[in-house]
Order: sequence, then C-alpha cells, then structure tokens
Amino acid sequence: MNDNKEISRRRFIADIGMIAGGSALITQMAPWLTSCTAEKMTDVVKDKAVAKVALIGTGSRGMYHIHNLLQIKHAEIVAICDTYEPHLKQAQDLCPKAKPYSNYHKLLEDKNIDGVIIATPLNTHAQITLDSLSAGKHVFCEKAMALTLDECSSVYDAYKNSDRVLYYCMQRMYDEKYLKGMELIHSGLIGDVVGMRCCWFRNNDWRREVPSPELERAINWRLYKEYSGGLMTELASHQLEVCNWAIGKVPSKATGFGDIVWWKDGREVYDSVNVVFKYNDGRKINYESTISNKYNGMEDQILGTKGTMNLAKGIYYLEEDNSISGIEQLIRQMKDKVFTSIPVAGPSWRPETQSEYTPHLVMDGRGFSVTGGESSVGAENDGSDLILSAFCQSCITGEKAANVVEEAYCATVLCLIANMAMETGSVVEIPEAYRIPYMKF
Amino acid sequence: MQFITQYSEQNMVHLRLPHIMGTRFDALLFGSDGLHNMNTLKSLSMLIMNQMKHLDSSLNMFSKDSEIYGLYTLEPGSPIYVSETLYGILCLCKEYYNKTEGLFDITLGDFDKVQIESDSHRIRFNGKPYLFNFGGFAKGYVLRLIKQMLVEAGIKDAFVNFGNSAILALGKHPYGDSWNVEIKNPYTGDAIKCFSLKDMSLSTSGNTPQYGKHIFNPKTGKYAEGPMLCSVTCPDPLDAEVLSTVFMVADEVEKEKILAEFQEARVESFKNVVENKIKLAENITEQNP
Repeated sequence: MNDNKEISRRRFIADIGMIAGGSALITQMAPWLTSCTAEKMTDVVKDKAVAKVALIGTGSRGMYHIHNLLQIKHAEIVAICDTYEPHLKQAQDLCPKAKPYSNYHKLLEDKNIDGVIIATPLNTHAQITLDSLSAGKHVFCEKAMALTLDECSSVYDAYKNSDRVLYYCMQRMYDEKYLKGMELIHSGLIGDVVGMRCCWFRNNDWRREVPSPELERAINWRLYKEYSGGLMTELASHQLEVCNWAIGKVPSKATGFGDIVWWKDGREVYDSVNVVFKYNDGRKINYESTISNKYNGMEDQILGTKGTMNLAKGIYYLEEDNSISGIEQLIRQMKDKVFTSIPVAGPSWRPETQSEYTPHLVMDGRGFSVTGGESSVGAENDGSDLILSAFCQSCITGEKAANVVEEAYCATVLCLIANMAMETGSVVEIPEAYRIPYMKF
Repeated sequence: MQFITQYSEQNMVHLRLPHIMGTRFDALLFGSDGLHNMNTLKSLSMLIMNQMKHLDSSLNMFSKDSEIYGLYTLEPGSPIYVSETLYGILCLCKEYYNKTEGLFDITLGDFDKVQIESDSHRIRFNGKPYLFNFGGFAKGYVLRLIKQMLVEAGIKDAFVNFGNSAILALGKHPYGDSWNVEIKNPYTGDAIKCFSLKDMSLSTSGNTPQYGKHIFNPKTGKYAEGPMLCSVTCPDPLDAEVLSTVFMVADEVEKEKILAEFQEARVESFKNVVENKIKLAENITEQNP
C-alpha cells in the first residue's frame, strides 16, 4: 500500500467521525485512531522517518506481517528471529538485508532496533513482550495477550509503567467496515443493543505440515494446551473484543461446553466450543466455533432493538424494514376509516415491505473486503496492515495508541475464563484480582 | 415492474413503482368528486407511469442510453441539439441557478460554462462536456408534471410519495381535512415533526447515518456535514425540491436572498438531530397554500 493510498484510507476513517459533527465521535468510539491520523502520517512521510523493526517469529503469521511491512514505506525490517531454521530461511529470502537471529535475547541487544513484532506461539507472548519492553523496545504482539491470567496481569502492569508503545494485533479495531459499523451502532441506528451472536466455523484440521514427528508440538502448537488457548484465544478473542467495543462494557461471567468432536488426532484443544458470556445487565454474547463444518462461516452480530449489525459482513438489517411501509399504513388506515399522520417523509428512501429483511451495506457505494474466516493466516485489507502501519508510526513518534492494550487484555481474560469454564463445567467469573480500571461491567 | 391496485370502496387507485429514477414511487389517486371511475383512475396512473419512465431514460446519469449521457460523450465547443424536454429542463435549471445564488447547479460548479441558446433547443459546453446531475431536481420536476396532469384531469385528492423525500399532497385524506405527514429522524427513528398538508408539497433533504456527507455546495466545494435535515413546503413541488437541497448548504445571507425569490416556500431546518434527540413537536404545523 503506498503512502497516498494509506493516507486516503486514514482520511476515510476520519470521515466516519464527521457523522456527529466532528472528531468527537471518533475520539470516544475509537480513541486508538487519534494517534494515527492522516495528518500525523503526512508528517511522518514528509520527514521520511523510518521505524527500524524486527520480527520475532517468522512462521505463517510472521511472514504475513513481513509481507505487509514490506509495503510500509516508514518501516524497515532490520532483524528477524526464529528458532526453527526453515522459518528463518523463508524470512531471509524476503528480507535479505535483515540480520538473522535464532535467539531473541540477542536480537533485543541490538540498539539499532526501534520496535519488535512478536508472532510466536501464545505461551511465549508474555515473556517476550516483557523482555522487549525491558530492553527499551516498542512492541507489537500477536493476539492473544497471554496464556494465563497471571501473565496478562504482569504484562499489563509492565506496560502501565513503561513509556514504550505496545500494540496487540486486534486488527478489527482498524478495519474500516468495523469502524463504520461501530459508528452506526453508536449513532443508534440499530437501537439499543440487547445481545450479540458470534461464530467462527471452519472445516480444516488447523494443522501445519510437520517434516518430522519431533517437531509436531513446536509447529502445531495451536493444538496443545501447554502452548495454546485453542479456539478461544486464537479466534474468539477478536470477536469478543468487538462485542465489548459495541457497548463499552465487559461481561463478568462465562460458561459453556468444549469438546473434540471430529478431529480426534491427538490434539488437546477443543475443535468445538459453545460459550455464553454474561454482562451484569443481562446481555449476553453467544459464541460458537467448530472447525469441522464451515456452513455458517464467520459472523459478528450485534443485535439491537431496531436492527442487527453483522460487522464481519459489513451489512445491517433494520427491524422496521420488516414492518409495513408508510403507504401501506395509509391504505390500511383508510380501510379502517382512520385519519392520522403517517411516517413517510425523510431524506432517504426506506425499502418497502418484504417478507425477508433487506440487507444494507455499511459502506454502500464503496468497495470493501469481506473475509469468510477460512484463512488460518490472515485476510487482505482486514485492518492488519493499518494497525501494523500505525505501530511503525508509533515507533517513530513514541505516541501510544489509546486503549489497544486494555481492549486486548479484556478480550484475553474472557477467553481464558471461557476455557476455565469449559474445563470445569461451571460458571466462571472474572476474578477480582484480574479486573482492571478500564473494565466497565 | 409496476403495480396498479384499485380500491373500489375508497374509489382509489394505488400506483406503485418499486424502482424508478433510483427510488420508490407511490401515488394514491382518488375519484372523490364522482367524476372518475376506476378505469379513469387506472388510465391516469398508466399515463403518469409512462411519463416517468420516459424521463427516467432521458435523465439517468448512470445509464449509457440516456440523453444526458449521450451529450457527455460529445466533443466540446460546438452547438449540440437537445430534445424539447431536456431543453425545457435546462432552462428551468438555469432559472433556479440564478434564483439560488448559484447554489443549485446541475454541473456542481460550472453552470456558467453551459450556454443555452434561446429558441433553438441547442446548448453549448464552453469547455469540457458535463454529465448533468439532476439530484435535488428530478423528483420535484416529476411531481410538478404529475400535479399538472392531475389538476387538468380534475383530480382533487391525491397523495404522491416519491422516495419519501418528495411528497405531493392534493386536497385531503378521505377521513380528514388534510394529509398529515411525519418526518422521521433517520438517526433515531423518532418522529421529528408532523406537517399537515393540503394542496402542498413537502421536500426533505438531509444527512443520514449511512450518507453523512453527500450534499455539496458548488460555490465552496464543501459538503453539508453533521446530522441535519431541511424540509421545505411549497405549493410548487419543484421549488420545494430545489430549496430543500439548497438550504442545506446556504449561509444566512444567501438564505434571506433566496427566500425573497420564493415567497410561498416555508423552510424548516433541524440540526444536531442526534445530540438533541429531537422528537415530535407538540403542535402540528399546518401548511396550506
């Protein structure tokens, strides 16, 4: 993505805030964007500043980030690190000038590095993040934040006491259609939010190719509880963050069932989860994920009294569309010999009565990408490139992105208590010790 | 696709065009004076429908078969012949351009470069050709034609709704003394205001959650921004249509000058409809000519 195209995308995002007469809405709704406006990007471009970054972890997701970084003009990959030689080699092929490491501690000693991008197994996220912050590096870490509640707490405390920038790859927070969708939700288009339904269905074994058996756990770490939080941390974390974003609150409890239904291949994590998260006001998130059937795809549905927002698809539906139109009301009144006012006037056309709900595009007239969620690596234009670019910009300016860490923390904690609930067959509440001031219940 | 439904008990015909000129159209025609039976009303509906289809094909800037698209493909500089209908429309547009301080402009900024030759049905583009944009005009123009047709046919009571933003209300509701129409806040769904219309048109322009910035000031190059609406009532549907868009972008000085040219128009602006949570006014505003 060239600079002009990115500036144009950032201006579009800024325009989303205009709906309420200025930048106030975007400041409230997505405050993390205030550190990466089009104007600030223009300054970076003008100064020809470049963030020197390093990749720690160059597997599939790390390579995805490398591809994006190579398109970012204000980023230069100066070092790469992976403990698995073939992964390091594939990264070297793309970044021949980057210094290769197999030990990230050595990489962190390199004073030439401004920031690191961590794309390693989940069980290492916390420690590498802490070590990187201690080494004075800005950090961009793949989600989720950590594998345990204690680790989450440690990272959060370290971040609060650090002047270094920390981002988590919660890319929906930078995805235009999610931003526009949230703006519509916050403007009251779908009425009061009364619940959420999220799902992520795939049909594949989630495995990577393993050249020899002793590498099974290293390469397929996602399938083992020692390293992975399974479907919850790897998939649901994004969607839970979006639900919290929609209403500005965090659920306090979770319960559910997790099982290995189909992929009985020695894995430890569930291949099928059904979890309910409950907010204190009674609203709930119904979450489902199964990776042996892809019919229902991926959806993030925010349910309102006046409509439904499907953020993943960039579509909303209005309850009113399924009721009779103004003209039909008028005709009905006349048949009943009733004279009263009819709600027909307004600046836009309302679709007529249909037996099915009429889908409305969140960004009508403008192309946007929609992912069905099949990819285990990443989709195009899903916000990953923008959040990475924003991180690189933060490496240059030193400006933190508001609330990104807090949002990642909340989402991760929810994933972890969901796993606990499924393991124990009980309702699990977020323990008091892990509640942070940002959490609104 | 079109639907003509008769309601014998009410002596009424409903013409519905689900998709014409980019939106939906409904007309309720009443044979309330006893002179019109169902057949007459249905034939009148068909006449209206055919007239609208003809205009749609001429004025549709998105269709490569339209007359205005054809003009756009021609070489600039030399005189161009246009149909009588389009010539009449362009003359009207020029008149509105002059009366609205240049705020109504189907070229979005360069109408003074379009030369309309008098009495010859020719125009000339002094510069590159323009793809005329009849948003903020076409619906009002159609309603004006329909009003003329209905009046000439002796129809006293009718309710015509063109895409919700342009309404023609002739006479009265069969069980009331006018037509009462509510404007809904597109941000909250609440009713903002109720207009009581009799032989009057109501046109509403504004921003919506989906289209927050789409009404353009051709003089400044800026858009009307923020959650606001503008409604105009006027006996002439075309005046109402033009003014509802113009008043979204006019400043106070311009508004005063423009209103002096349209003395029968009444304008109401609603600003900050999100924050102010504007709800239905206690008093219904009566709009009679």
